Amino acid sequence: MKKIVFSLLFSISLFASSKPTLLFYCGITMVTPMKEISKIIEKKHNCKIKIIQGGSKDLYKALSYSKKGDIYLPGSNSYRLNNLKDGYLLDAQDIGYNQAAIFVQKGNPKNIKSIDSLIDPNIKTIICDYTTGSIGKNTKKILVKYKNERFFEEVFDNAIIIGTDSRNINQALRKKDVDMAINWKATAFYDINKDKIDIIDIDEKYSPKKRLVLNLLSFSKYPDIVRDFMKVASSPDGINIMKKYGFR
Amino acid sequence: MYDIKQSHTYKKLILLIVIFLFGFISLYTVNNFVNNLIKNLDNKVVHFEKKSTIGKYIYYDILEIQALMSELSTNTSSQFSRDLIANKIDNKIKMIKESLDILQHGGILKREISLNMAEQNYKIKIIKYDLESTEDFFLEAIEIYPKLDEIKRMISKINKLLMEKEKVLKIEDTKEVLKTIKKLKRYYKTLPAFFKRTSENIERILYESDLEYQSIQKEIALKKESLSEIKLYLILTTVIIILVFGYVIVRNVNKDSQLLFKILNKQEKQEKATRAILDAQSNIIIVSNGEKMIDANQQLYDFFPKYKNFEEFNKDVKCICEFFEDKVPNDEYIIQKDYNGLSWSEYIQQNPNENFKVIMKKNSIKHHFLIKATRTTLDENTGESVVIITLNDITQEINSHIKLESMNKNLELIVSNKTKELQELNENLEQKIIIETEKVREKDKQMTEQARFAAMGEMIGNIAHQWRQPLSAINTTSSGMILQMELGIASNEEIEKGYKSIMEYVDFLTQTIEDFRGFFKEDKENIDFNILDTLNKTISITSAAYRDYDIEIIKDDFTDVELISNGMPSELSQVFLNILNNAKDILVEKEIKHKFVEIRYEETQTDNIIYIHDIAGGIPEDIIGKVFDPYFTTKHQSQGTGIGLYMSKDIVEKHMFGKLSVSNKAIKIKDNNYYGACFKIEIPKKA
Repeated sequence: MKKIVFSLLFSISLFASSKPTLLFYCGITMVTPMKEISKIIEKKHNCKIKIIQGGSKDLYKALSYSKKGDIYLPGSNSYRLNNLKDGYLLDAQDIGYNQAAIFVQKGNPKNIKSIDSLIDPNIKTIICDYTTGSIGKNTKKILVKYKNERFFEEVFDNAIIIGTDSRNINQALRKKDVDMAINWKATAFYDINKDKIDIIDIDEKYSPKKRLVLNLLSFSKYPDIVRDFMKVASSPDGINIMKKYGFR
Repeated sequence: MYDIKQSHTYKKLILLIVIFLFGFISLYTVNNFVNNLIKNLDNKVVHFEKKSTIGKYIYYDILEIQALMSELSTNTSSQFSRDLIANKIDNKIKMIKESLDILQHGGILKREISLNMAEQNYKIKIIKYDLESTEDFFLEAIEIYPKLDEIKRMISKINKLLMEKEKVLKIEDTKEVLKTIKKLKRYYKTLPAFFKRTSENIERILYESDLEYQSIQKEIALKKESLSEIKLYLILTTVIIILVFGYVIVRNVNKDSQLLFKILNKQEKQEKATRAILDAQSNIIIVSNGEKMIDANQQLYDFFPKYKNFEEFNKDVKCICEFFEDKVPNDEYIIQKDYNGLSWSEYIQQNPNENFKVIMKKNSIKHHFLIKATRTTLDENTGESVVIITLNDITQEINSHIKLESMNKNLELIVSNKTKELQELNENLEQKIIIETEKVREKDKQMTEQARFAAMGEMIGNIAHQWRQPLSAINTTSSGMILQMELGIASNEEIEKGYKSIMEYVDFLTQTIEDFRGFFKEDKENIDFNILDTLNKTISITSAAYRDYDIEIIKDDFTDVELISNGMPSELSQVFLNILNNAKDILVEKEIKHKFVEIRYEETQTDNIIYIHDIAGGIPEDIIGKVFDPYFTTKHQSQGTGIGLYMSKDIVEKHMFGKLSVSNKAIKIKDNNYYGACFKIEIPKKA
């Protein structure tokens, strides 16, 4: 009987109008906590949230090309500040911050101590493509600030892999393809990484904390839901979720 | 009834057909509905399959672009070769854009698949992709379009760097050559990351699409199963409903048929009964539909013995009017003619209060019939009706009438003679009545006188009683006085005492005479009087006799009571005396030891009532109704005349407008129960 009722409901649903669907451009580093908050919003507003994940720059290119979608969360607030002139980004809401650190194999077998090891030809390194993701862009900034542009080029030349995003970097570390990387600190605490990766903090003067800011897109069809998303994400519950995944 | 049932049965049969039709339509609809749902699910699966195939084409195109980019970076030695590769990459980008466009807007994708086979180099794959209305976003397009632009930019960049390298190679500037090569190297180093990102994007899309596809496939498989079950349940339910309804209706129809059969049987019996009733009628009855005869009763064939049944009659005769005689005594008789545009039957129907007649011959003898025609409606809806013609043979009545008319003429003469005789008789009768009345008056007078004499006799009897004791006392006193005087022992005192005693007795005797005179004095006119005074006087008159016979009168205390009525006191006194004497006589006759007469009075709003109740056992029931009849007496001839109570009733009811009645009643006197006659004298109060 239950089955019949369920099937009838399903049959009816075939003719019923679909739920509102929101498109969320999310920097790949923050996908896990954002999925958790999305579920709360989906339940609350009876909607569906589709997440496009990737490098923050790629995501911005995608949203500005398609002019579709509702929320944008880059790995660094610089993507908002640099692109405000386009007019696609409206309301903003801080939900935490991110900070880059040196990532090494668990137990630091190569005894890596500083950024300088990135140009050691005996150390296998990976750095993120500075043209795509927030960590790539941030790495370049740290390295230039740490020494200079030339130092960055040396690091680039020494890297055996140019990564695409934070997840891609962690994957190379987990697979032990590389010994060292610069990546977003929070990702080291993910269940999948915490047993494989150790972190070495970088002095905050080279690696400042990067604000994580939710952006309402100007072409959003559901600004009220987005604003509520921002409200929930910045609420104690939302902050707890972010903390759970290392974003604080 | 039959028609109603039949129409019900038809309705039920039609309902049955409707239910079956409804059932089949429902089954068809349910089947179609479920099939459509399943078809929709199948379409969804096909849609995902197509989407997945197009996604794969894009993925392969990206891989090919990557390979071409790699070739462009490493193996090209001239601008021509670079342009060639750039064109190839351009084509691929166009193909990817076409694929994305079809994914976004729907359409037909044609792809040439290279086979590299001897007999066939390639094949054309055609995919017709319909857009799903539920798709809001085209993630493939959103993520890949910017990458395509990036590829173009990258080709341009590589071209620029390669041209730069060729340029520095030509001038053989080693430092610049190394610098350019480093630039190229660094740039090439970013290419794998780019293509990895791009291919990851596509792979992720394909993966998510595949996940969705798998989940939908699983869900669809479940839904299909459920829908098939629903379909089965719905079909089964519909079939069961049809069967149940069908069964109920067929059962009802069957019941109706049985009922119909019973009704038909009953109808047949009713028809037979009706036929028997019709045939039992003494009248000739013909049923017509207004144009021709449709039936008739047995009396018709009895009158026309030539025909045995209606069919034979109807074969020869179209209308009963063919037998109507034309020669008729008056207009009351109907003949076969037109009555101002009406047929004879219609004419009769239009004049239902007229007694129309017809004459028909049987064996050359004329028969007179009273004819009636009545139209009766058989069906209100269709207006179907019949005309019932009744022919009542009144030949005998007609003949009797003729005879009566003849007798009437003789009767008039007889009546005239008899009238004369009666007139003479009447004249003599008046004379006779006067004489008889006079006789009755005389008789009444005699009776009154008789009653008066009887009363007088009674009175005299009473006076005798009254006088006996004082006369004896006077005699004793005077004899004593004489003897004393003769002996010389009489003193003056004793003589005076004796004289006084005698004078007292004489006064009493005088008073008795006065009472007697009063009783016989005829009142000349009615006066208002206290009936209790009259009663007291009468009791006084009878007191001596009552005393002689030891009869005690028990009466109410009349002191200060006045019951005033209008009438003649002497007449009422006569009534009381009569009743009191009768009571005394019966008490003495029955030798009752303790003799009582109770006298009571009662006063109502309109009447004064006196009850005189003896204890002599009552008047026998067989004669109680006759005691007021004249000359009726229970006494010995020497004692009673039978006039007393008759006259008493006459006085009370006719002279004083009251009522005199008698009944037997029980009475309690001095704690003893008695039974006797109770006379009730009701006299209206004075007006």
